[in-house]
Amino acid sequence: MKNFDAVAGLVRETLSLGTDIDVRPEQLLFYDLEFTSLDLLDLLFRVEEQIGVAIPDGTIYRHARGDVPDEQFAEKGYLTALGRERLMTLLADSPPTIFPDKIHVQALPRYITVGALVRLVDHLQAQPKAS
Amino acid sequence: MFELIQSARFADTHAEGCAHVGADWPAVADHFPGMAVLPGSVQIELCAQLAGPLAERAVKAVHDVERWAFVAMVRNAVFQRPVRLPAVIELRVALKHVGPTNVQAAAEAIVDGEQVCRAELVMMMLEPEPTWAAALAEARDRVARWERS
Repeated sequence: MKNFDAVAGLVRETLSLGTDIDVRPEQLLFYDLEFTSLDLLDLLFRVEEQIGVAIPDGTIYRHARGDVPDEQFAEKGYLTALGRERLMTLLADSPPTIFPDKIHVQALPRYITVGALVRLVDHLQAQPKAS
Repeated sequence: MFELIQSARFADTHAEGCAHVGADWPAVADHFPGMAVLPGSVQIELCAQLAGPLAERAVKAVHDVERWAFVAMVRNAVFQRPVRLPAVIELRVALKHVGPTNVQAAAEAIVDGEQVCRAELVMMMLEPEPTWAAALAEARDRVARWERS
């Protein structure tokens, strides 16, 4: 988790948390830290500006789907059983009990932990930049 | 609130508008007595009034969905100097990102050829509800008036 300290600092900035409040890898952004979707957007702007890693819309969807065809991963806006399984594998540090039976494709960021976000930032940062 | 913009032109990814604000605009009667100054928040509001229709058109064109734009975030706002009234304010907005649920745009306000305000606006794009019909119709009429002027 190379970028943990940087991302944790940006989480604190986004929520205006004092430095005395711990931000830990296992915390869920939306459940434990009470993020809203706008807080997440704000955090992603900060990540892009300060760490230089852009996380566009649909990134978690694409990472969870991998090479599974779209129609096998989601149907009518909701993850299939396979899609749900792949999301839970990607977000293995999120407690299984938070995943509802039906997961809307636009709701995937709701289940991410600070640690999963840091892994994503680390992964994207290590990718060669498109020229 | 929408009476200040006199005209606007929209292209696919950017828009320009012109607002006139008189020194006798009632909202600034005490801002400040004898020295009317346009509040920074109004400069941002004027930019957002232009960014809204631009964002709605872009979301329709790119994602083929009808959405209504609301200001969600104002980032990196800078006000270069006080804007004394009366003033003619040129407004410019350029899209940076067009998503189905949010749109980012760079906005600036210019007075006498000089930038007085710049900011990044994030618009949240909401699906219209049936109870918004009258407001949406009024918004469409307003933008059509701006474009005719």
